[in-house]
Amino acid sequence: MSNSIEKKMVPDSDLELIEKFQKGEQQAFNQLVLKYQKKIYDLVYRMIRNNEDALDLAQEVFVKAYSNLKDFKREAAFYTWLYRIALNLSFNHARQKKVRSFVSLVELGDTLPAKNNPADDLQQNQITMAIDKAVLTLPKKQRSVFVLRYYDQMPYKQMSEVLGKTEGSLKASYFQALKKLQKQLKAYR
Amino acid sequence: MRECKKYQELLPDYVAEELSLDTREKLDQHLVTCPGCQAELQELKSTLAILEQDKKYSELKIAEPDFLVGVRSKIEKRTRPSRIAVFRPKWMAAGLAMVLVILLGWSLFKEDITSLTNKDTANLSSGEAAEENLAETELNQLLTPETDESLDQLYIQLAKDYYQNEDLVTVLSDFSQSDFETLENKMKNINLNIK
Repeated sequence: MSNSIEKKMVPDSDLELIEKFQKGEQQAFNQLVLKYQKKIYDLVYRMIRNNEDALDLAQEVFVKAYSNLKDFKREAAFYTWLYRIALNLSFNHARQKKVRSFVSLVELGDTLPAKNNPADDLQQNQITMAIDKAVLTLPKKQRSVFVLRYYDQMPYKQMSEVLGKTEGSLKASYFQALKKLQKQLKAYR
Repeated sequence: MRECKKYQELLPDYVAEELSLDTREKLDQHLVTCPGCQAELQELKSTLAILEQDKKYSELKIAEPDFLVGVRSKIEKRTRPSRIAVFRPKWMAAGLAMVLVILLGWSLFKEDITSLTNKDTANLSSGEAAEENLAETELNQLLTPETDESLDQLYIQLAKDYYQNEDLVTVLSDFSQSDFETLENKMKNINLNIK
Protein backbone atom coordinates (compact mmCIF):
# COMPACT_ATOMS: atom_id res chain seq x y z
CA MET A 1 0.00 0.00 0.00
CA SER A 2 2.67 2.46 1.06
CA ASN A 3 4.73 1.42 -1.95
CA SER A 4 1.96 2.33 -4.34
CA ILE A 5 1.54 5.74 -2.67
CA GLU A 6 5.27 6.36 -2.91
CA LYS A 7 5.18 5.31 -6.54
CA LYS A 8 2.46 7.85 -7.26
CA MET A 9 4.45 10.63 -5.63
CA VAL A 10 7.30 10.17 -8.10
CA PRO A 11 6.52 12.00 -11.35
CA ASP A 12 6.57 9.95 -14.53
CA SER A 13 9.72 10.09 -16.61
CA ASP A 14 9.56 11.49 -20.13
CA LEU A 15 9.64 8.03 -21.63
CA GLU A 16 6.80 6.84 -19.44
CA LEU A 17 4.75 9.87 -20.44
CA ILE A 18 5.53 9.29 -24.11
CA GLU A 19 4.50 5.65 -23.84
CA LYS A 20 1.23 6.66 -22.21
CA PHE A 21 0.61 9.23 -24.91
CA GLN A 22 1.37 6.71 -27.62
CA LYS A 23 -1.27 4.47 -26.05
CA GLY A 24 -3.80 7.30 -26.38
CA GLU A 25 -3.54 9.06 -23.03
CA GLN A 26 -3.81 12.74 -23.93
CA GLN A 27 -3.17 13.85 -20.36
CA ALA A 28 0.38 12.50 -20.65
CA PHE A 29 1.10 14.98 -23.44
CA ASN A 30 -0.24 17.83 -21.29
CA GLN A 31 2.23 16.83 -18.59
CA LEU A 32 5.09 16.99 -21.08
CA VAL A 33 3.97 20.47 -22.13
CA LEU A 34 3.78 21.67 -18.54
CA LYS A 35 7.19 20.21 -17.80
CA TYR A 36 9.01 21.82 -20.73
CA GLN A 37 7.00 24.93 -21.62
CA LYS A 38 9.18 27.37 -19.71
CA LYS A 39 12.43 25.96 -21.03
CA ILE A 40 11.21 25.91 -24.62
CA TYR A 41 9.71 29.37 -24.33
CA ASP A 42 12.97 30.75 -22.93
CA LEU A 43 15.03 29.02 -25.61
CA VAL A 44 12.85 30.30 -28.45
CA TYR A 45 12.76 33.81 -26.99
CA ARG A 46 16.55 33.90 -26.66
CA MET A 47 16.88 32.76 -30.25
CA ILE A 48 14.43 35.18 -31.89
CA ARG A 49 14.46 38.01 -29.29
CA ASN A 50 10.80 38.83 -29.70
CA ASN A 51 8.40 38.19 -26.86
CA GLU A 52 5.15 37.97 -28.80
CA ASP A 53 6.45 35.72 -31.56
CA ALA A 54 8.26 33.57 -28.98
CA LEU A 55 4.97 32.64 -27.31
CA ASP A 56 3.43 31.60 -30.60
CA LEU A 57 6.54 29.78 -31.75
CA ALA A 58 7.02 27.93 -28.45
CA GLN A 59 3.46 26.67 -28.77
CA GLU A 60 4.22 25.60 -32.34
CA VAL A 61 7.11 23.52 -31.00
CA PHE A 62 4.68 21.45 -28.94
CA VAL A 63 2.17 21.24 -31.78
CA LYS A 64 4.90 19.81 -33.98
CA ALA A 65 5.99 17.48 -31.20
CA TYR A 66 2.39 16.31 -30.82
CA SER A 67 2.10 15.37 -34.49
CA ASN A 68 5.44 13.54 -34.51
CA LEU A 69 5.46 11.98 -31.08
CA LYS A 70 3.74 8.84 -32.32
CA ASP A 71 6.87 8.10 -34.37
CA PHE A 72 9.31 9.20 -31.66
CA LYS A 73 12.22 6.80 -31.47
CA ARG A 74 13.90 6.35 -28.15
CA GLU A 75 17.36 6.76 -29.62
CA ALA A 76 17.51 10.33 -28.33
CA ALA A 77 16.25 11.85 -25.09
CA PHE A 78 12.92 13.64 -25.39
CA TYR A 79 14.33 17.05 -24.42
CA THR A 80 17.08 16.68 -27.06
CA TRP A 81 14.44 16.02 -29.68
CA LEU A 82 12.27 18.88 -28.42
CA TYR A 83 15.20 21.31 -28.38
CA ARG A 84 16.04 20.41 -31.96
CA ILE A 85 12.47 21.19 -33.02
CA ALA A 86 12.64 24.50 -31.15
CA LEU A 87 15.95 25.49 -32.75
CA ASN A 88 14.77 24.57 -36.25
CA LEU A 89 11.54 26.52 -35.87
CA SER A 90 13.50 29.50 -34.54
CA PHE A 91 15.78 29.45 -37.58
CA ASN A 92 12.82 29.20 -39.93
CA HIS A 93 11.11 32.04 -38.12
CA ALA A 94 14.20 34.20 -38.41
CA ARG A 95 14.41 33.45 -42.11
CA GLN A 96 10.77 34.23 -42.69
CA LYS A 97 10.65 37.40 -40.71
CA LYS A 98 14.22 38.43 -41.42
CA VAL A 99 14.70 39.20 -37.77
CA ARG A 100 18.30 40.29 -38.09
CA SER A 101 18.08 43.62 -36.39
CA PHE A 102 15.82 46.45 -35.33
CA VAL A 103 13.86 45.14 -32.39
CA SER A 104 11.51 47.97 -31.61
CA LEU A 105 11.38 49.69 -28.27
CA VAL A 106 7.68 48.88 -28.07
CA GLU A 107 8.42 45.17 -28.24
CA LEU A 108 11.18 45.49 -25.71
CA GLY A 109 8.92 47.43 -23.39
CA ASP A 110 6.68 44.38 -23.16
CA THR A 111 9.50 42.18 -22.00
CA LEU A 112 10.93 44.43 -19.34
CA PRO A 113 9.62 44.82 -15.83
CA ALA A 114 8.47 48.31 -14.87
CA LYS A 115 11.01 50.34 -12.93
CA ASN A 116 10.72 53.55 -10.99
CA ASN A 117 13.48 55.55 -12.60
CA PRO A 118 12.79 56.45 -16.27
CA ALA A 119 16.47 57.20 -16.87
CA ASP A 120 17.37 53.68 -15.75
CA ASP A 121 14.63 52.30 -17.98
CA LEU A 122 16.00 54.13 -20.98
CA GLN A 123 19.55 52.99 -20.38
CA GLN A 124 18.42 49.45 -19.76
CA ASN A 125 16.34 49.48 -22.94
CA GLN A 126 19.34 50.61 -24.90
CA ILE A 127 21.54 47.86 -23.50
CA THR A 128 18.91 45.20 -24.03
CA MET A 129 18.34 46.40 -27.56
CA ALA A 130 22.05 46.33 -28.28
CA ILE A 131 22.30 42.78 -26.91
CA ASP A 132 19.28 41.69 -28.97
CA LYS A 133 20.81 43.12 -32.08
CA ALA A 134 24.22 41.61 -31.36
CA VAL A 135 22.78 38.15 -30.68
CA LEU A 136 20.66 38.27 -33.83
CA THR A 137 23.68 39.00 -35.96
CA LEU A 138 25.44 35.83 -34.80
CA PRO A 139 25.53 33.03 -37.38
CA LYS A 140 23.01 30.22 -36.81
CA LYS A 141 25.37 27.70 -35.24
CA GLN A 142 27.08 30.22 -32.96
CA ARG A 143 23.75 31.66 -31.87
CA SER A 144 22.38 28.28 -30.84
CA VAL A 145 25.62 27.43 -29.03
CA PHE A 146 25.58 30.80 -27.25
CA VAL A 147 21.92 30.54 -26.23
CA LEU A 148 22.16 26.95 -25.00
CA ARG A 149 25.40 27.55 -23.13
CA TYR A 150 25.02 31.06 -21.78
CA TYR A 151 21.31 31.29 -20.97
CA ASP A 152 20.39 27.64 -20.57
CA GLN A 153 23.74 26.71 -19.03
CA MET A 154 23.54 23.40 -20.79
CA PRO A 155 26.60 21.15 -20.35
CA TYR A 156 28.65 20.60 -23.51
CA LYS A 157 27.82 16.90 -23.52
CA GLN A 158 24.10 17.60 -23.80
CA MET A 159 24.70 20.38 -26.31
CA SER A 160 26.62 17.87 -28.36
CA GLU A 161 23.54 15.61 -28.42
CA VAL A 162 21.22 18.46 -29.39
CA LEU A 163 23.42 20.04 -32.05
CA GLY A 164 25.28 16.98 -33.27
CA LYS A 165 28.72 18.59 -32.87
CA THR A 166 31.78 17.55 -30.91
CA GLU A 167 32.41 19.16 -27.54
CA GLY A 168 35.66 20.68 -28.83
CA SER A 169 33.92 22.39 -31.73
CA LEU A 170 31.16 23.64 -29.42
CA LYS A 171 33.72 25.22 -27.07
CA ALA A 172 35.39 26.95 -30.00
CA SER A 173 32.00 28.16 -31.31
CA TYR A 174 31.01 29.51 -27.92
CA PHE A 175 34.22 31.45 -27.60
CA GLN A 176 33.85 32.83 -31.12
CA ALA A 177 30.27 33.88 -30.35
CA LEU A 178 31.41 35.73 -27.24
CA LYS A 179 34.17 37.45 -29.21
CA LYS A 180 31.64 38.69 -31.75
CA LEU A 181 29.32 39.94 -29.03
CA GLN A 182 32.28 41.63 -27.36
CA LYS A 183 32.97 43.55 -30.56
CA GLN A 184 29.33 44.58 -30.97
CA LEU A 185 28.90 45.64 -27.35
CA LYS A 186 32.15 47.52 -26.99
CA ALA A 187 30.35 50.85 -26.63
CA TYR A 188 28.48 49.70 -23.51
CA ARG A 189 31.50 48.72 -21.42
CA MET B 1 50.09 31.43 -30.58
CA ARG B 2 48.41 28.12 -31.39
CA GLU B 3 48.66 27.27 -27.72
CA CYS B 4 47.03 30.63 -26.85
CA LYS B 5 44.06 29.87 -29.12
CA LYS B 6 43.54 26.58 -27.32
CA TYR B 7 43.70 28.28 -23.92
CA GLN B 8 41.45 31.18 -24.96
CA GLU B 9 38.69 28.76 -25.91
CA LEU B 10 38.76 27.60 -22.30
CA LEU B 11 38.33 31.11 -20.89
CA PRO B 12 34.51 31.14 -20.78
CA ASP B 13 34.54 27.97 -18.70
CA TYR B 14 37.36 29.39 -16.61
CA VAL B 15 35.21 32.41 -15.73
CA ALA B 16 32.22 30.16 -15.06
CA GLU B 17 34.47 28.00 -12.85
CA GLU B 18 33.58 24.90 -14.77
CA LEU B 19 37.04 23.65 -15.64
CA SER B 20 38.52 20.56 -14.09
CA LEU B 21 41.18 21.26 -11.47
CA ASP B 22 43.95 19.99 -13.70
CA THR B 23 42.94 22.14 -16.69
CA ARG B 24 42.42 25.15 -14.48
CA GLU B 25 45.94 24.87 -13.07
CA LYS B 26 47.44 24.64 -16.54
CA LEU B 27 45.49 27.71 -17.66
CA ASP B 28 46.53 29.62 -14.54
CA GLN B 29 50.17 28.89 -15.30
CA HIS B 30 49.73 30.03 -18.88
CA LEU B 31 47.98 33.24 -17.87
CA VAL B 32 50.87 34.24 -15.61
CA THR B 33 53.24 34.18 -18.56
CA CYS B 34 50.93 35.43 -21.35
CA PRO B 35 49.80 39.11 -21.32
CA GLY B 36 47.74 38.53 -24.51
CA CYS B 37 45.59 35.88 -22.86
CA GLN B 38 45.34 38.00 -19.70
CA ALA B 39 43.93 40.87 -21.77
CA GLU B 40 41.57 38.45 -23.49
CA LEU B 41 40.33 37.30 -20.10
CA GLN B 42 39.60 40.88 -18.99
CA GLU B 43 37.73 41.64 -22.23
CA LEU B 44 35.67 38.53 -21.80
CA LYS B 45 34.79 39.37 -18.22
CA SER B 46 33.52 42.82 -19.17
CA THR B 47 31.45 41.41 -22.04
CA LEU B 48 29.91 38.83 -19.73
CA ALA B 49 29.12 41.64 -17.27
CA ILE B 50 27.07 43.43 -19.95
CA LEU B 51 25.31 40.24 -20.92
CA GLU B 52 24.54 39.63 -17.27
CA GLN B 53 22.33 42.76 -17.25
CA ASP B 54 20.23 41.24 -20.01
CA LYS B 55 19.91 38.07 -17.99
CA LYS B 56 18.62 40.01 -14.99
CA TYR B 57 16.21 42.27 -16.84
CA SER B 58 14.74 39.85 -19.30
CA GLU B 59 13.02 37.63 -16.79
CA LEU B 60 10.37 36.00 -18.90
CA LYS B 61 6.81 35.66 -17.81
CA ILE B 62 4.28 33.27 -19.21
CA ALA B 63 0.96 32.36 -17.72
CA GLU B 64 1.45 28.61 -17.58
CA PRO B 65 -2.15 27.33 -17.89
CA ASP B 66 -2.74 29.73 -20.79
CA PHE B 67 0.25 28.30 -22.59
CA LEU B 68 -1.14 24.76 -22.48
CA VAL B 69 -4.60 26.00 -23.51
CA GLY B 70 -2.97 27.70 -26.51
CA VAL B 71 -1.11 24.54 -27.50
CA ARG B 72 -4.26 22.44 -27.20
CA SER B 73 -6.28 24.92 -29.21
CA LYS B 74 -3.71 24.87 -32.03
CA ILE B 75 -3.64 21.07 -32.04
CA GLU B 76 -7.43 21.00 -32.14
CA LYS B 77 -7.50 23.36 -35.13
CA ARG B 78 -4.92 21.31 -37.04
CA THR B 79 -6.53 17.94 -36.39
CA ARG B 80 -10.19 18.94 -36.90
CA PRO B 81 -11.44 17.77 -40.33
CA SER B 82 -12.72 20.59 -42.52
CA ARG B 83 -16.47 20.92 -43.12
CA ILE B 84 -16.00 20.60 -46.85
CA ALA B 85 -14.30 17.26 -46.39
CA VAL B 86 -17.11 16.00 -44.19
CA PHE B 87 -19.87 16.84 -46.64
CA ARG B 88 -18.12 15.89 -49.86
CA PRO B 89 -19.63 12.67 -51.20
CA LYS B 90 -17.53 10.35 -53.34
CA TRP B 91 -19.91 10.50 -56.31
CA MET B 92 -19.36 14.26 -56.48
CA ALA B 93 -15.65 13.80 -57.00
CA ALA B 94 -16.25 11.17 -59.70
CA GLY B 95 -18.76 13.45 -61.46
CA LEU B 96 -16.41 16.39 -61.34
CA ALA B 97 -13.58 14.28 -62.73
CA MET B 98 -15.77 13.16 -65.64
CA VAL B 99 -16.82 16.73 -66.49
CA LEU B 100 -13.17 17.80 -66.38
CA VAL B 101 -12.14 15.00 -68.74
CA ILE B 102 -14.87 15.96 -71.25
CA LEU B 103 -13.96 19.65 -71.11
CA LEU B 104 -10.27 18.91 -71.47
CA GLY B 105 -10.91 16.62 -74.48
CA TRP B 106 -13.02 19.28 -76.14
CA SER B 107 -10.50 22.05 -75.57
CA LEU B 108 -7.65 19.88 -76.94
CA PHE B 109 -9.70 19.10 -80.05
CA LYS B 110 -10.38 22.79 -80.61
CA GLU B 111 -6.79 23.80 -79.91
CA ASP B 112 -5.47 21.21 -82.35
CA ILE B 113 -7.64 22.49 -85.20
CA THR B 114 -6.90 26.16 -84.47
CA SER B 115 -3.16 25.63 -84.48
CA LEU B 116 -3.31 23.65 -87.70
CA THR B 117 -5.35 26.44 -89.35
CA ASN B 118 -2.83 29.11 -88.38
CA LYS B 119 0.17 27.00 -89.35
CA ASP B 120 -1.12 26.08 -92.80
CA THR B 121 -2.28 29.60 -93.66
CA ALA B 122 1.16 30.94 -92.87
CA ASN B 123 2.96 28.33 -94.94
CA LEU B 124 0.76 28.44 -98.00
CA SER B 125 2.73 28.99 -101.19
CA SER B 126 1.21 30.33 -104.42
CA GLY B 127 1.28 26.93 -106.23
CA GLU B 128 -0.33 25.23 -103.34
CA ALA B 129 -2.89 28.01 -103.10
CA ALA B 130 -4.52 27.03 -106.42
CA GLU B 131 -4.87 23.41 -105.30
CA GLU B 132 -6.25 24.50 -101.98
CA ASN B 133 -8.78 26.81 -103.66
CA LEU B 134 -10.05 23.86 -105.63
CA ALA B 135 -10.32 21.75 -102.53
CA GLU B 136 -12.12 24.60 -100.81
CA THR B 137 -14.66 24.85 -103.64
CA GLU B 138 -15.32 21.13 -103.42
CA LEU B 139 -15.70 21.33 -99.72
CA ASN B 140 -18.03 24.32 -99.97
CA GLN B 141 -20.20 22.25 -102.25
CA LEU B 142 -20.13 19.48 -99.73
CA LEU B 143 -20.99 21.92 -97.00
CA THR B 144 -24.03 23.23 -98.82
CA PRO B 145 -26.47 20.41 -98.31
CA GLU B 146 -30.10 20.82 -99.21
CA THR B 147 -31.70 19.58 -95.99
CA ASP B 148 -30.94 19.84 -92.27
CA GLU B 149 -30.93 16.09 -92.03
CA SER B 150 -28.22 15.71 -94.61
CA LEU B 151 -26.31 18.51 -92.88
CA ASP B 152 -26.39 16.60 -89.64
CA GLN B 153 -25.21 13.49 -91.43
CA LEU B 154 -22.37 15.44 -92.93
CA TYR B 155 -21.24 16.76 -89.57
CA ILE B 156 -21.33 13.32 -88.03
CA GLN B 157 -19.26 12.03 -90.92
CA LEU B 158 -16.80 14.88 -90.56
CA ALA B 159 -16.42 14.23 -86.87
CA LYS B 160 -15.84 10.53 -87.42
CA ASP B 161 -13.36 11.24 -90.16
CA TYR B 162 -11.51 13.70 -87.99
CA TYR B 163 -10.37 10.87 -85.82
CA GLN B 164 -9.87 8.36 -88.63
CA ASN B 165 -8.52 10.35 -91.55
CA GLU B 166 -5.54 12.64 -91.27
CA ASP B 167 -6.10 14.08 -94.75
CA LEU B 168 -9.48 15.34 -93.74
CA VAL B 169 -7.95 17.04 -90.77
CA THR B 170 -5.69 18.86 -93.19
CA VAL B 171 -8.69 19.93 -95.25
CA LEU B 172 -10.51 21.11 -92.15
CA SER B 173 -7.47 23.14 -91.24
CA ASP B 174 -8.10 25.31 -94.29
CA PHE B 175 -11.36 26.53 -92.85
CA SER B 176 -11.41 30.14 -91.76
CA GLN B 177 -11.85 30.63 -88.04
CA SER B 178 -15.49 31.72 -88.48
CA ASP B 179 -16.27 28.72 -90.70
CA PHE B 180 -14.77 26.42 -88.20
CA GLU B 181 -16.64 27.99 -85.32
CA THR B 182 -19.91 27.59 -87.19
CA LEU B 183 -19.11 23.94 -87.73
CA GLU B 184 -18.05 23.55 -84.16
CA ASN B 185 -21.30 25.06 -82.83
CA LYS B 186 -23.39 22.82 -85.02
CA MET B 187 -21.43 19.80 -83.88
CA LYS B 188 -22.08 20.70 -80.30
CA ASN B 189 -25.82 20.57 -80.95
CA ILE B 190 -25.99 17.12 -82.40
CA ASN B 191 -25.64 13.92 -80.54
CA LEU B 192 -22.33 12.43 -81.60
CA ASN B 193 -22.04 8.71 -81.47
CA ILE B 194 -18.48 8.00 -82.42
CA LYS B 195 -17.22 4.51 -82.04
